[in-house]
Amino acid sequence: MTPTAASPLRGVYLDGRSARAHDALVWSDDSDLVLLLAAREDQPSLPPAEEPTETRVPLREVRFEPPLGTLRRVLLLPGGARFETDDHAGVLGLERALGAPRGLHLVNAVEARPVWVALSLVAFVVAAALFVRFGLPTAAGWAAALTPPAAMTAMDTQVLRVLDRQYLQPSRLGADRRRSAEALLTRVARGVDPQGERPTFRYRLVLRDGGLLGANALALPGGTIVLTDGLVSEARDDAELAGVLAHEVGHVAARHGVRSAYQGVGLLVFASLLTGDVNSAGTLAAAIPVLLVQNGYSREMEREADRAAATYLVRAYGSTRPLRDILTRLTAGSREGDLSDLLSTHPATSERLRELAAFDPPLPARR
Amino acid sequence: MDTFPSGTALPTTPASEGRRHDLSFSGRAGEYFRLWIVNLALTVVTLGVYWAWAKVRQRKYLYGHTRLDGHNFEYTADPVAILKGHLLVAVLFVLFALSQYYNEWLYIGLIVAFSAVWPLLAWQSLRFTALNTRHRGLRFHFHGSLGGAFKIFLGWPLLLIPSLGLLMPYLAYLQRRYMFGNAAYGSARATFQGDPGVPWIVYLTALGVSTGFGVLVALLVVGVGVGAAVSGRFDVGGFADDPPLALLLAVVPLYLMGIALSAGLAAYVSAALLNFSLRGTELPGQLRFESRINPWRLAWITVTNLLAQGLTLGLATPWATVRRLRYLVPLVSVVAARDLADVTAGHGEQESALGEAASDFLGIEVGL
Repeated sequence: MTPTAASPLRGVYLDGRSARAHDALVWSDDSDLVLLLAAREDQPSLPPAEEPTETRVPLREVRFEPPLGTLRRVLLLPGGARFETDDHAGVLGLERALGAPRGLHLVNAVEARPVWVALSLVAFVVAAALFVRFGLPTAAGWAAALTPPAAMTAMDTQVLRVLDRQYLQPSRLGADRRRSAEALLTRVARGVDPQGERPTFRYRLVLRDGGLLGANALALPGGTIVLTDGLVSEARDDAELAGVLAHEVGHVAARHGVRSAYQGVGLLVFASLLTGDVNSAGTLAAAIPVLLVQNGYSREMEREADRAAATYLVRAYGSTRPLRDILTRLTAGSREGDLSDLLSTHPATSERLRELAAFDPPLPARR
Repeated sequence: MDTFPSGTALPTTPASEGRRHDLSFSGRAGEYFRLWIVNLALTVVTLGVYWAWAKVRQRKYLYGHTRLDGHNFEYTADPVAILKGHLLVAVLFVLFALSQYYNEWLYIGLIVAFSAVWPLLAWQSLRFTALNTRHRGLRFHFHGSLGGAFKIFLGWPLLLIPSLGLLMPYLAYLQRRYMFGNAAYGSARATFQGDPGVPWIVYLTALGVSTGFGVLVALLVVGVGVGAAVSGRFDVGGFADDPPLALLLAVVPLYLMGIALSAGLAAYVSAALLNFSLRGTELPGQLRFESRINPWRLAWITVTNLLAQGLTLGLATPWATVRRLRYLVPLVSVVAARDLADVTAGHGEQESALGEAASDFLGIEVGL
């Protein structure tokens, strides 16, 4: 049985039934892989007079382990047996001759060339950045659009319960003030998010004593808007309060609550993927960028809500001034710095004021 | 001598004597980095599908460069099986993460369900990893019972709470005995003879060190707190949120130090317990293990690795992995009474990859 192709491969054969290794020569003929086995030199425990034995394996039962750097090439044989050799070229020739699938060869080739490795690094960074910047928010947006209204209402109930338990007290505002605020919300909601016959969101106002939270407003996914007494008192007139409410309604209409939740989960999955087989403390390396990215998402959402509020205010009151005024008053006294902006979930106030002002119609020319 | 003059081995030689074989690791950081980064790029580009292949490839590299008596180890898992496991685990994880927004009871319920399922996953993971590890063509096996897994990974840990954590060293002993005492190479079953007292010493040492550092940090924190000026207004909630910069700058280094310390101590404990596991494992009549790993040195390597990984946003991970293995692998040796080739295969079937996938995905380490 003469070999068909190139010279035989020299290597080690293991039969998968015992740990004994045999020197072997391997080649292929028309139908089979032929292995010529003999004892290894460094295993003198075998009786010295062992004849070389020949084994044949049908070629279709031979599988090739994909190449991996400089590690020995391995041929997988039935019954758990294997043949290992350092003759990379020889195995490659055999694979080609047999037409064996060579998928991971490409990967191995890429790993061997520094240029391709560098390109991979760039590709990875670019792909990761694209995913985080566009892919994930878009996917989260789709998931948010598909979320049924009932689910979002359920979230309202859940979140409000947690807030009431931990931060909020019953409101101390008078009934009149409450009723007028509720009416204002109905007007504003109709203006910012005129829903049709079957509304997705049920806009309703919930007033609470905010305690430590101070003057605050919160939009829950199903349309519940929470206002603290502090904020209602801070507003000098209906226009200012309307500005705040319009901002919150903007959050609801764009489904920011659920989008944020999905983005958070998505980022977590992505970070887990990257730090997969490192021990859990190593996820710290991913945690910091995740935090920054999450805050980045929030800032973008604040801008969207500001834009919705600005559009409504200009239509209803002629200017964004009411929102700018209350914003200025609420943030007066706290410092702004570049670093804290990066970590904060909201864009810097001066930036917000500027962007809001850009929505104002130009002043009529003076005579 | 342990052989006849003709070269054949003596039939009975006590395991305490015999030839010593050191393990070796020939992996290189540069090579592994190339593998790691290309596979990472492919994983991201394929939205995670390729990760199963990447994981298998990485393990094959690391196992393949670990040698004992001229033969390397092999990882033979089927990436497709791991991929299925990944998908299932990903779906479950997403559902679990979202449930906290919808219903508290659902969230808690899922946590309870997961705790109940966890021993099953750990058991599967041990079996899967063992069956897919080969040396000289023979598989490893894990013969531990599922009931044993529930006792070790759920039953005993539940007792940690009423005992205020005092049972931790004993639990460590029981877990090692379960994992190593039920291991087998081919048909050769292992036994575990470790002394239950050793983990006590390990944990007490770690406790002592952490207490010392804790006192130091507490003094620092008090000093910083008294000196810092904290802004009066707590929060203007939906409109602006500017924490005082000075407070941030003071808190962050302390937080990082705390993380470094706990990571270092965890590494110390895990390294010391690795020594304990290796030294107590024996294949009766055939071989036993020795370990010269210095747990403090390994802890130091772990902490500096974390620092490097943090500073490079994770890119130093392959270098860190290789560095760790280059240190610890050569310090492990096998003392064999007979020829290492005199082992025969055991019986084994292919195992579900679910446990392996779960432990990969969530970074759960059932580890040594």
